[in-house]
Amino acid sequence: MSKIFSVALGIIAAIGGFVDIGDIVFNVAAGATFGYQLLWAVVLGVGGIITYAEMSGRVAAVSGRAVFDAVRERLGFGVGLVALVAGQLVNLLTLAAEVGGIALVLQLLAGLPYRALLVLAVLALGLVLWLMPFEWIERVFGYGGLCLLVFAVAAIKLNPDWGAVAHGFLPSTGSGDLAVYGYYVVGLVGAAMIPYEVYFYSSGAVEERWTANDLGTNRANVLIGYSLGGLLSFALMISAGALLLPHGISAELLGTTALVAQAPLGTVGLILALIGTLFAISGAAIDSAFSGAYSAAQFFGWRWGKYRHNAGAPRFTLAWIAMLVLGFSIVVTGVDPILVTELSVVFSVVALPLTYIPILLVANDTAYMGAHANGKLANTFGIFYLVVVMAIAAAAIPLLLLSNMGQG
Amino acid sequence: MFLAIRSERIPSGAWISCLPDRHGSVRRSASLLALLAVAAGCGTPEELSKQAEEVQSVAAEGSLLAHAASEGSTTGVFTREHAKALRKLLRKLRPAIEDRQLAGLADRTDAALERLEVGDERGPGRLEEELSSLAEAVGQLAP
Repeated sequence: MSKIFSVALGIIAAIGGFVDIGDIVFNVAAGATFGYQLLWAVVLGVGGIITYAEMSGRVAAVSGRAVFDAVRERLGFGVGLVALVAGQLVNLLTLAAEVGGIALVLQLLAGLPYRALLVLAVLALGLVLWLMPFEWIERVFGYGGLCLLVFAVAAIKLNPDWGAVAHGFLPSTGSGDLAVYGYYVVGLVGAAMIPYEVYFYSSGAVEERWTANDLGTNRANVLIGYSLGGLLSFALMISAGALLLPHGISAELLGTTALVAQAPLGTVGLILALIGTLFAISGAAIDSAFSGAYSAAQFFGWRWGKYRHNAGAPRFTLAWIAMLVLGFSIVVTGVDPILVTELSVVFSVVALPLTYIPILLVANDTAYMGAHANGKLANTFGIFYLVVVMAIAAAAIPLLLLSNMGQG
Repeated sequence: MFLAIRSERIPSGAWISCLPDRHGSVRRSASLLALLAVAAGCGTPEELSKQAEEVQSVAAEGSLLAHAASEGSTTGVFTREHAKALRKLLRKLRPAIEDRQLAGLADRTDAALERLEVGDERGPGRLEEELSSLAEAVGQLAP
């Protein structure tokens, strides 16, 4: 019974922890620009993260080794180092965007100066990372992120054209500017499959000392948790499409997202949207700071893990502190967190193959995985998504330029 | 989309020049981001129709915000901070607007948002109507 309860708690945390600032930015902007036409791209992205998170969790549970162990081993030092540097740059940009996003949400809640809130945000994140056990971090921010379910209620109350919503799940080339449409496809898939999620997920499996007995938990977490988490992305896009598109409002501010919940649900909707956003992006900030430290530690062979406590893994601890300081240094310059979010998602797309190819190789290696190596189904999805990842990685920068970053 | 905003959305937003010299590497990173953003063309739009779309978007969003304030279904802090952020969007765009009609409408939108930000004594209901009609008027310039 306690096992079922534990699995259920993990799933709930996965739902609440699914959305980060990249998902919020791209889903709301896509809804405001194209209505429901891009819902299929969210399905594509969610399928991708389910496929590869399941593989990375399985590898971690069976071998006790996380993603960057596999990257180093499979790609060798040189190529592995390129993957590490690319991954760390994306982690850093993501972290900077999340820290800036936290300050922006706090500003909408409290009305205090932005830079003071940036300092408060980074100090609070540092304290949480220093003091909280791994399980608590995962659960507290995952549960807080569930407040974002207010967007599902908002989507229903805004009474969208459900026929058009259903039609949006069918892949199409869309109406309007093709480059802008392509840019959003890349952004939506990239936001769902952003690499830090698998770094964090597989390292978390090692932190929680998963074994082959936890493969069921792994499947339940990714299949149920991420699928239901994907519903939050649908809700964001549908509510933005129902409210913002008819008014000709282009979503350019985090406050616009909150307004999407406020309009149909009043003050309660507004507060829940802001609190949900705060928890979701704070959780993602912690994930990306840890992911940076995990990746470096696994690549260079340092002792790592929150379970060792801060003094027990000093270089790992210094690595996440350095991530926080560097992330803060980027946003304190005054750069717009939403701009950083978009760039981090687009660059993460370029780096996706370097993350996902080694996972696929290791998950297929029977010498490594024994009876738990990929079956036909996992390989079919794995290869399909590898093709998708390669295609969007090749298209990301050209579309960024051709679409004027989605401006058209 | 999320582009007209950019650097000026953030308070006291000197982009890079605020950094002291000892932060050279941070300055270089920020410069790289800025270059990429410029390369991607995320600056202020120059076409009249795109400028009109942005002004229309700000006015329409301001109208929604004023509506919420008039109904008492939002918080004072949110109204103030979001109105302020919308004005920053507009101020970023304003110097690039050459069309006199659009410039006038943008200025009136900014003035209405300023009244929303500080809490206009005539009430947000009036501002909702004003911003709504401004959005409609600007919309006619953005076919």
